[in-house]
Amino acid sequence: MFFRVPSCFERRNCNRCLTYDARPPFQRFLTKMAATLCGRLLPKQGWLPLTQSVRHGSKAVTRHRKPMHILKQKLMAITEYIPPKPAAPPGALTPRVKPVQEESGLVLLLKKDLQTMFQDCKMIAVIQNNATNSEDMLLLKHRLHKHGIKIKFIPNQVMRSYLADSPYINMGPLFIGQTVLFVSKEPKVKEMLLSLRTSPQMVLLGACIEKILLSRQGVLNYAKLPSVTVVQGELVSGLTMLTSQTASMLQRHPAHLSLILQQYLKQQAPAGSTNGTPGESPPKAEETA
Amino acid sequence: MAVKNIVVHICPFESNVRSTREFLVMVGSEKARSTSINCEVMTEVKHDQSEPLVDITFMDGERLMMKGARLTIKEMLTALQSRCVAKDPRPKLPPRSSPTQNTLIELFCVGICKCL
Repeated sequence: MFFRVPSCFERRNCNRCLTYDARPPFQRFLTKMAATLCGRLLPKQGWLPLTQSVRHGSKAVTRHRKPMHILKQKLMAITEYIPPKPAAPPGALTPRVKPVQEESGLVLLLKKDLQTMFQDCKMIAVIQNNATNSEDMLLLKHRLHKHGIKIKFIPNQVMRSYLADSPYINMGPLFIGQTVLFVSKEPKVKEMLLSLRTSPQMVLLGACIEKILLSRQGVLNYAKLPSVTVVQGELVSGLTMLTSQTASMLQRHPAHLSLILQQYLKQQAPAGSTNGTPGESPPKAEETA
Repeated sequence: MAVKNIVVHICPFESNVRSTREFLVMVGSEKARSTSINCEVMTEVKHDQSEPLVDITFMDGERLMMKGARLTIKEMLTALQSRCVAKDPRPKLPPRSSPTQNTLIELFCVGICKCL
């Protein structure tokens, strides 16, 4: 005979529950087989298993960690291993060195051209073009060619790298975005400004005229200047004005005296001609003259 | 069609004019100008170390002033585009509509913003 087992969830750890099966072993085995085979079916039907094996006095977990003594705990905490901080990888701290790129042949050629251009040309103007179409560009080229002004397209990188080594380093900030260079051997500023007036997209930013960097206003003022001969004449007249004033001031008294004497002679001459012979007056006039 | 004129003040020798100059290139391009014929784009080049400034006047008198020293070109274009759209809201057209129905400045700004 065996006792009915309560179907409680704590069946495993419950020491109170036990079964005693007095059946012969073969029957027990068959029951167990049936239980294992029908194990899935019975719960579905709502039947409890016929036999439930429960361990008595035996636990699943038998080895528990022994609580550490407080002194040992302290010792362990003090002597805990602190691993050394891993050093930063070698690529993290050192600044990344950019490999210095060698300049290509085209760049070197362009730089040579720029050097000759800066030496020969007296006027180099920097213009920003806001997407001029090709027809306008052709017309502008033609108009400027009449006055001997050439249009050059040079990449900004090349320009900036050249200017960094040259004395024209302050022109560097002008070369941002779409820029065009107007170069000419003679500084023909008026003609250039007239041509630019017709194309509103081309904006004059600055120019290097006769090795002097000028802003837009400076270029406009330069255009208003008169020619060299006129300026020289003005300069000479300005310088000689003071000296001429001094000279005239010094000569004022003798000049005044000579005028007075001449007038006196003139007054004396009619009086002498009425008293003396008429022949005497002309020789006297000749002497005084 | 909402923009009356655009005036751009720049000092080219300063170092903070890059975005303003690029904005000028975008707005002064052939595409944008050919459709918005009423819109004038004027540039004033100065040398007084002043900050770059974009002054946009709309048809209804409103003015949009953008100080380009610390702005990127994308921000400037989106600001202009949002204002244009706000002033002239058009219903969503079918995809097969011709591009001239929309203001090309707006389309250009959108296209540039997508590319950037």
